[in-house]
Amino acid sequence: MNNEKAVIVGMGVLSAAGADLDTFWDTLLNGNITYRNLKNFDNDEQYRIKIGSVINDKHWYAEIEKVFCPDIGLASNYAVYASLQAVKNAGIDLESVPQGRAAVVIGTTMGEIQLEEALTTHIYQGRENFNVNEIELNKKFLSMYPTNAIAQEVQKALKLSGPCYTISSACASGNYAFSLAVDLVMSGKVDIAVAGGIDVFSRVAFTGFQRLLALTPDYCRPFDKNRKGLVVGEGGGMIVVKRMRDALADKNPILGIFLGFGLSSERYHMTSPHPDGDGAIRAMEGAVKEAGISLKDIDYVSAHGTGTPANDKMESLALLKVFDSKTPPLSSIKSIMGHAMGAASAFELIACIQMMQKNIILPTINYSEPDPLYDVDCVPNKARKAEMNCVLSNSFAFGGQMSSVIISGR
Amino acid sequence: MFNNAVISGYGFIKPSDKNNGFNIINEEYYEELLKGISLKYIDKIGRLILLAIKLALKGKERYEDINLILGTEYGPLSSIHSFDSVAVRNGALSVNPSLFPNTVLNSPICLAGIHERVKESMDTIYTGLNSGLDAIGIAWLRISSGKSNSVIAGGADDLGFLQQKLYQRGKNVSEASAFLLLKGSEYGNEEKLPEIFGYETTCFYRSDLNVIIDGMKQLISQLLKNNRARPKIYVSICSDRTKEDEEEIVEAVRIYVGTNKNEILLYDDYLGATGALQTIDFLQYGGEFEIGLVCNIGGDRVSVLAIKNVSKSKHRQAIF
Repeated sequence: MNNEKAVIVGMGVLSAAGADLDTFWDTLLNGNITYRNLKNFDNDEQYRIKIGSVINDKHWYAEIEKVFCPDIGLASNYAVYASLQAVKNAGIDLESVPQGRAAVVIGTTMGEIQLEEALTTHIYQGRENFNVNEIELNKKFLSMYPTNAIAQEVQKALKLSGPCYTISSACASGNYAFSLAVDLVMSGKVDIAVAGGIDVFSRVAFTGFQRLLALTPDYCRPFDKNRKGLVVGEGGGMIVVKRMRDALADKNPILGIFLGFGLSSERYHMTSPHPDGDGAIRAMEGAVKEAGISLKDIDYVSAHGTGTPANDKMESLALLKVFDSKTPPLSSIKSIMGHAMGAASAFELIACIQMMQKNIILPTINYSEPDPLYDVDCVPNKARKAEMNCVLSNSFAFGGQMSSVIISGR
Repeated sequence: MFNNAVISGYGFIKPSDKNNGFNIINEEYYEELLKGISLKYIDKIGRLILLAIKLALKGKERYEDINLILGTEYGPLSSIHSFDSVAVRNGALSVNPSLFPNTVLNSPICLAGIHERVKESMDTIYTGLNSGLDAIGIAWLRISSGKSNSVIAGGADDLGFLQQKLYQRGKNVSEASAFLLLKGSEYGNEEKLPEIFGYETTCFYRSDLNVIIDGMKQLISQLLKNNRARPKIYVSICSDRTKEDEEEIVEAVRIYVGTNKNEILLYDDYLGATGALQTIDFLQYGGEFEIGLVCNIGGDRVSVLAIKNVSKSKHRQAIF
C-alpha cells in the first residue's frame, strides 16, 4: 500500500438515481432509467425533445432547509447536501481539523444557472418594446448568482476554513476538482479536502444541446450503432480526500486510492471531439504514467459514453489505440441516469468505487446493436460479476478539456 | 521539484479612461490589436483574454507543455444571458447553436486556449474578487510541486448588463484582462526575473473585520517566515469592504509589517483581473522593494501572493 497517495474516505450523492449511496447503487445495478418527459417543457413547441433526468426525490430538501436552503441557490443546496452526506459517510469529526487546514473544491459546468434563467424570464417573457434598464430585478437572486458561492456555501455549512475554490471544466469539472483537491492535500497545504461536481438542470444547456442536435428523443444508448444522443441530467457527487498515512492513523475508512490523473486539452474545437482522439489518448496515457502502472493492471473503464455519435466513436477509437486493440470491459452509467454535466464525473468515480467494493460491473443499458466501426465490450444491458482492483474513469468536456483518473480499491 | 516560479512576461488590457461607475474597454481598441484573427464566435471576455495572453507571450519562446489558468468573477455571463434571452424572447429554436459553447463556464479560457493551440490542461477558477490572484497562486502551486513547467495565469472579466446589476460592492469598477507567464526555476533565472515564492489563501466562513485582519496577518506571517528580519516590502490591497474598513486594514498591515520604508496601497476594483493587475503594477513600479505582497479580500476570503525582486533595478519594465 502506498502511503504517499491521496485516498477517498467518504462519499455522498444527490442524484436522479438516489439521494443516498445505497439507492444510487441499486438504481444503477438494476438499470432503472431515471429520465422521463419534463413537465416544464410539455407545452412548449420550441422544444422538440422533452426528455431529461431530474431529481424528483425532495426528501433531502427538508433536511437542509432549516439551515440554508432559502438563501442560497439550488446548485449550492445540492453541493451542501452531497457534502454533508460525504462527511457523514467518512465518519469524520470536522471540528478536529485545525483552522485553515481544510479545502473545498467544487466543479460545475453552469453554476447557479437557474437564477440567471429566472432573471431572464422575468425580463423578457411577455414583454414587448421596453427599456431593460427600467426593470427591477430580484436582489436576492442577484446576490445568490456568483459562481464562487457554491464552494463557499459548502465551507460555511461544514464550518471549515482553508482554501475554497469553485472551478469549471465543463463536463469534466468533477475530475478537475478531484485533481486540484489531491494537489492541495498532497502538497501539504491542507489535511483534508471536500471535493466534487455539481450541476442543476439548466434550460440554457437543454436549449443548446437541442440546437446542436445532441439530444436523444427516447433512450440514451452509448456505444450502440443506433445511438442518437445524450440526456441532460443534474445532481451532485462529493467525496472527502485525505493523505493515506493520515487516514490510516485516524482509522478512517479507505474507500479508494487516487493513483493518477491525466488532464489535457484537445486544441481542436469547442464542441466537436478531435477525430483521432488526440486529447483523450493523451489524458489516458497521462493518467497511466502518473499512476505508475501497466495498462494490464486496469480492470475496467468507466467511459465518458454520452451516447452521442461523435463522442462514443472518438472514445472507442482512443481506447482501442491506448489499449492496443484490446480494451478492458467498459460501461457508461449515463445510459441509466443521463449526463449530469459537472456532476457526471463525480457520479462515475463514486460508482467506480462501489463497483470495486462489490465486484460488479454496472451495465450499459439500451444496447442492441454493435457499432461495426469498433469492437469494445461495453457490458451490455446486464451487470457482470468481476474482480476489480484498478479502474480508469474518463470525462471529456466542451472546450476539449479531457480528463482521466485512475483509482484503486484497498 | 522547483521552489519558485519566475515571471517572464505579462500582458494586460484595461480601460484607458476611468469615470465613476462602470468602466468599459473600447472595443475598437482591442479589435485593432487582434486584427487578422477570426473573432466571429469569440465573445468579449474571450477576446480580452486572448489579447492579454498574446501580449504575455509576445517575443517569448513557446513551450509545448504550457498550462492556462483563468480566474474570473462572472465568466461568460454576457454570453449566457444573451443566448438565454434569445430563447425566451423568440423561442428555443431561434438560438444560434454556434453560440451555445460560449455559455459554459469554462468557455472563455477554452476559446483562447484552442486559438493558442494549448495542449495541456486549462483551468477556470471562480473565487470572486480574488479569482485572478488565486489563479496565479494555483499556477505557483503547480510549478512549485513540479506538476507544470510553465503556466499562463491571470484574470479577466467584462461588464455586461447582468454583471452591472450583480455588482454590489458600490465602487468604481472596470473590466480588464491581465495574465502572467510563469516558468519553473528549472529554466534558470539568469535574467534575474522576479520570482513568486509563496501563496496563501483561506476562507474563514466569517467575515467580521477582526477575523479578516487577524487572518491576513497570519497568512503574511506564513509567507514571510523564511525571509530576513526587515525586508523592504510593497503591499497592494484590494478588498470589497467599506472605505472605513479598508483604512483599518491598511493601518493594521502597516503596524504589522512595520513602516520602515515600506509602501502599502489600496488598489482599484478590476473584478477577476484585479490580483493580476496588482502583480503587474508591482513588476512595473516596485523595483526598489525586495518583496511584494499582493492581497485580495473578498467576503470571508483572503488571498496573498508573495513576490521577490531578484534584481534591484527600479526600471522593471525594461526587462519585459
